[in-house]
Amino acid sequence: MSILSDILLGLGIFVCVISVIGLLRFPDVYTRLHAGTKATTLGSLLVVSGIIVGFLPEIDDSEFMIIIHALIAVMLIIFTNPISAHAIARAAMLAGIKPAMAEVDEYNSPSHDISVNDNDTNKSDEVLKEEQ
Amino acid sequence: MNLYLGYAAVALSALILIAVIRVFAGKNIPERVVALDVINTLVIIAMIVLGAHYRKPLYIDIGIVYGILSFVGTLYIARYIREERERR
Repeated sequence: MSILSDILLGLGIFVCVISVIGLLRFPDVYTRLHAGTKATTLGSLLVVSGIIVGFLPEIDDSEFMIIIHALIAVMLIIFTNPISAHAIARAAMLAGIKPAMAEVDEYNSPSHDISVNDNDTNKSDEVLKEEQ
Repeated sequence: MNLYLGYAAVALSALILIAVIRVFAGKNIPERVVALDVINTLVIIAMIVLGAHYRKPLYIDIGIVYGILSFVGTLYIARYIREERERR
């Protein structure tokens, strides 16, 4: 049981190391989001499962408290991490940042214009037209 | 019980320091925000590991509150990037 918890903890730290290496090496915002968000979510899951498996054979009262709080923290990471990544990616795309080494420029074509579906920009455009 | 939790906390701190380099070396605002998001997640993981190492659940509570505040901050910075584009 102790060997399994050590293996899970080492795997979690290894996934976090891979995530930071990808953050350093990838050329672009979107690929860095791909490396940074999903890998750290998996790393947190592995680390917390390693801690829980290490605590399991004889459970103290404070260790039970630690397990419950760690599960709540992992739930928070799982719920908030994809939302923030999606918000960053959408803001970067609306700010006009293109992916690196993209040869086909399909982001300026009107069929892929993401700002058409955006309610805030539509509202602000209408306000600007009324002011003019 | 011999968990290597102290070494794990040291390794996570080193990873946070490496990600700070990417915050300062980013070319535009979204790249820096991506590095900041990774730093926030690593801080939460390090708080969980430290709370399990010292057997204190209060550290994990600090991690939970930090996660909520950093989530709100990330969403607000994303909105700031979008409004900067509209002002241009």
